[in-house]
Amino acid sequence: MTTHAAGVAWLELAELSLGVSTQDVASIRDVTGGAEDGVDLDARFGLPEGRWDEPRSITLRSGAALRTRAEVRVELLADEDRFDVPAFFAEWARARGLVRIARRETGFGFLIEPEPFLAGLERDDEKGGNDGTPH
Amino acid sequence: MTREPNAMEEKTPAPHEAAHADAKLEQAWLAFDVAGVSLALAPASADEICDLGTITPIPLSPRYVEGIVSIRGRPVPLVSLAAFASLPSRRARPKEDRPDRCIVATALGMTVALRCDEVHGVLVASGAVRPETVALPAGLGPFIRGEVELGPDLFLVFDFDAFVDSARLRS
Repeated sequence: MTTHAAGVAWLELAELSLGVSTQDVASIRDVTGGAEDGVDLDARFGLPEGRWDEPRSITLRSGAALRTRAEVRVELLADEDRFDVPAFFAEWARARGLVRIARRETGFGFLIEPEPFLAGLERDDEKGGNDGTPH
Repeated sequence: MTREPNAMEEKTPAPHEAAHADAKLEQAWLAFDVAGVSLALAPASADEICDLGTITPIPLSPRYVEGIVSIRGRPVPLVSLAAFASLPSRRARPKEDRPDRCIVATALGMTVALRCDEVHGVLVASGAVRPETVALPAGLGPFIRGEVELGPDLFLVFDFDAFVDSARLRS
């Protein structure tokens, strides 16, 4: 049996790992941390205690960018560690760019499709609810 | 000459026996508490009862979907009936050294872990299901199908299918 693996850049936020396919990433660079460096994920999802660094910007091939001080770890993800989103929220998740779930060392992480994910953040900001922070 | 039944035939009950077995099954209920409300679920609806381990929050999700948990290595959404039905927070303290628990059940092709304050186990009813005599919290009403006596206590019969259909996240 052949095991396939794909590169994922994991953004290690508080209680939450967001994974972007390395195929979607144009560059990861140190930045000063202004709004011009992309959507601030830390403000939205928090940072893990003691595991953060200087701000970095992950620029996507589409031109959009994500900004975080959290650790960014690039890993290979094997097929057997990748799951479909459970039917209970699959349709909802797809609309928000949460496309797959990956098994991680502790718990799971979400593989995102950056554009619909960012659009989902914007929609929720406009509605002023559903803050998405860990419960 | 009489023929010896083979093993498969021995396991297949006659229709009247099967009906009797079903009737017995209907008298047993999986009893559990959520936010101080005692609920009963048909045991056939439940896959298993689990201790809750690590909960991974789902970004952008409503608060009643607490996250995903690992059930035999697979991700399953953890749902809070208390939060969904806006039940008053009367959560019992977990017993010492006992992690919080959930009932994993499948309805309409969707597997969900339902957070419970306490799982009493499978109890046998001393009577039939009857219309509920207690006032229901407003948010819970659509998912209750009567009440049943399990031992000395009354439990509300919980319609898991209706709950999942109502709580599932749609785009």
